[in-house]
Amino acid sequence: MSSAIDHINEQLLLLQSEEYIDRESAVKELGNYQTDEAIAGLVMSIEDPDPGIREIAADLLAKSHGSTAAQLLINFMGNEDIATRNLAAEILVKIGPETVPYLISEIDDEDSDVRKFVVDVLGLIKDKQAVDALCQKLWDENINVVCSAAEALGEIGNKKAIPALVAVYDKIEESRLPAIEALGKIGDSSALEHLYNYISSDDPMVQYAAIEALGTIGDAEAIKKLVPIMNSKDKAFAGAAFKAVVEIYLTTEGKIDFDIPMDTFAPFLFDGIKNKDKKITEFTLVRLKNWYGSDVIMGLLDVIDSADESFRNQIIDSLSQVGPSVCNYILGNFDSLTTETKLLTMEIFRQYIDQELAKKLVPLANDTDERIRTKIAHLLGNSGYTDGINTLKELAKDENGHVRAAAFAAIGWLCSEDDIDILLPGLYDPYVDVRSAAVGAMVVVGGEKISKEFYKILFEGDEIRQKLAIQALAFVGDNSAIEPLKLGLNNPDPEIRKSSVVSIARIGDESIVSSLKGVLNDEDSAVRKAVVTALVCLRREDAVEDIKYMLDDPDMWVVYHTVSAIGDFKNEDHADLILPFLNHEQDIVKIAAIKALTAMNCKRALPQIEKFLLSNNNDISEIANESFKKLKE
Amino acid sequence: MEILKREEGNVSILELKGRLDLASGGALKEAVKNIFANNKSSVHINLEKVEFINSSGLGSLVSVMKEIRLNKGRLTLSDMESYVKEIFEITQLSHIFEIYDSEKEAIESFQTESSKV
Repeated sequence: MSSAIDHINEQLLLLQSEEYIDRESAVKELGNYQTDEAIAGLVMSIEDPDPGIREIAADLLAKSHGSTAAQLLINFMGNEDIATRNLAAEILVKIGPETVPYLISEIDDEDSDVRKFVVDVLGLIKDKQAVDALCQKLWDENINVVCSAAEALGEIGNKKAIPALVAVYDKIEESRLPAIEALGKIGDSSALEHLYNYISSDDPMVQYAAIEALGTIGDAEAIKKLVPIMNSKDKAFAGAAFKAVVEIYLTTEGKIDFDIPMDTFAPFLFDGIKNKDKKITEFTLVRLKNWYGSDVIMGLLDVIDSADESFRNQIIDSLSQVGPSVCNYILGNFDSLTTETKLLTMEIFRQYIDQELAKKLVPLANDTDERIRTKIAHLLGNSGYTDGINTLKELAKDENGHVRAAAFAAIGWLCSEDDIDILLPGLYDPYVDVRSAAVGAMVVVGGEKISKEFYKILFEGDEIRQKLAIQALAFVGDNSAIEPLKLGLNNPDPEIRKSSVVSIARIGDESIVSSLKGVLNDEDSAVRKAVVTALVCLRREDAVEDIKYMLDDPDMWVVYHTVSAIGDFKNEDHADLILPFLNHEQDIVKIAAIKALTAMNCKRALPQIEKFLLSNNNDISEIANESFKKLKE
Repeated sequence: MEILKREEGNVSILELKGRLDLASGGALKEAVKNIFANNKSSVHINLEKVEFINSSGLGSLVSVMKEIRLNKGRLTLSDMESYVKEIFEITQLSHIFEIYDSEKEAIESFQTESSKV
């Protein structure tokens, strides 16, 4: 124990050091103790010359939750250094309700600045223990303290303060606005009658504050008092009343017995959205249903750029529900929209795209932003508007690769087999995405003519285009693709031969089985493996007769693959083919054989598999263990 | 190809099984026509069990989508296997179709849509 006290004392001494590093480590060390001395040291450090150390000390004190810290920090309420005083207040707020009794003990300080500061801190702590003391401070001789006390009572929100606030309103003129605001924030309906009276005040500021407070309370009862004000000639009052009604509407989740005249207040609503008023924006969007006059649509388009992202998406959502006619409004104002908004509204076009709309979109293909040109290409392709091909042909020559890719894809969605000449240049584009898009477009068109083009590429094209052609032929996938794919089986490039095998397997044409069997002797092991898969895919179990020869393949992976493929049929009739591989020189093949024989439920393999239980190779012993259990069942 | 038809709320679900090509595309178009005959226009196609799809299969999906659009309906697709996804990617048809990872998500999107109106 004494060593802890010594250690704390050492740290307290270090707090006087001129070296930052000493003071910093001392503060951190003191943070580990909850003794009064350690806390006093931390409190002392909030006056350290270094802001970093002050911050560390403040954080540690805020976490201490102790009355010692509160007692000591109270002394800073009258500190002449504003930064230190504010830091002490900040810590007291963080410590929370525990500090309230200590703050109350200072609330009658002879210095009005200290009293006001204490009251402010109590308001920030928002603990109801302070209500009585703050109510008394409503009668402080200093008006600043009075106003702060009213504000603090509003922050605490306890209805016990209402009579005191009403009383101070009646007696002290300068307290009226904070008192009204506090009545609103307390949010209790018992303040309504008082606020109704204040609306009749001669002072417009008081009237305005009372209207706002009625909105803050959020009681639907107040609507009857607000409706006449909404019809006031004074726009500021009408707007304030309307805003209060909106708040009540949101607080009560729409449970108000009053039909809000949305059209009358449209400009107010749109101004609210422009000014990023969340409540107005939320209200407007909730109430948009069945309120789609042209003024509203134009208003929404006008404010869309001002709204936050989530509201922006809601606006787009609302606009998209207006129906196809909204597209004309958007197009009419398209030039005045920002690029981001243009892109968002184009999602609405996507929903309603047809030939008529496509015609109107054609001029937008010249937009300076490539993202818009890309979207236009997609929309034209999606529209079924065949005359749009001419615009797409131009976009296929665009300087931007994304636009060209979109244009080629879209041409594919619109054009027929006779138009494939338009697509061919895309295969020679320097950008891979554009080449892929052109291939994709040809796949969508499909048919014999397209297969012939790909066939030609297999002879004339370079390696990149040959691979694309093979891939595309698989997707074209009809009989016209088979002959070109057969040709691919003899291509000098093993990648192309392999792709041809995979593509043929995908198409699933059994007439090509004999050609595939010929490739079982391919010089490339990846091709041979692909043929094994393809034959199994095409002939199912009949393929075992063809692929069993691959069990003698010089490549270990081909053997592994073939053993696994035969095992997948789970037929013990094939066990004799696999049993010898339990003695294969490669462990990986032994593993494949154990798995295959287990899948076949071949109990004859048990004695040999049992021997593997003691294998030095963990992988083998684990697989053997699992297999042994299964075969024993 | 086998086409199984189910209903979930207002959405008609077609579950395709097997190969979607020239031979089976007609059956798909016919199935969608029958849906319209029953005054329904919200269609979801589950592609989970589609083993193969080619140009003609894509063509039939595009044609079905146009038909649905003409009838002011909505079409969604879901549960694409990697091969089917690949063909949708290369053809960029994902820009035309509304594609969801799962049938559940697609059906929920119809429900959200109807609750908005």
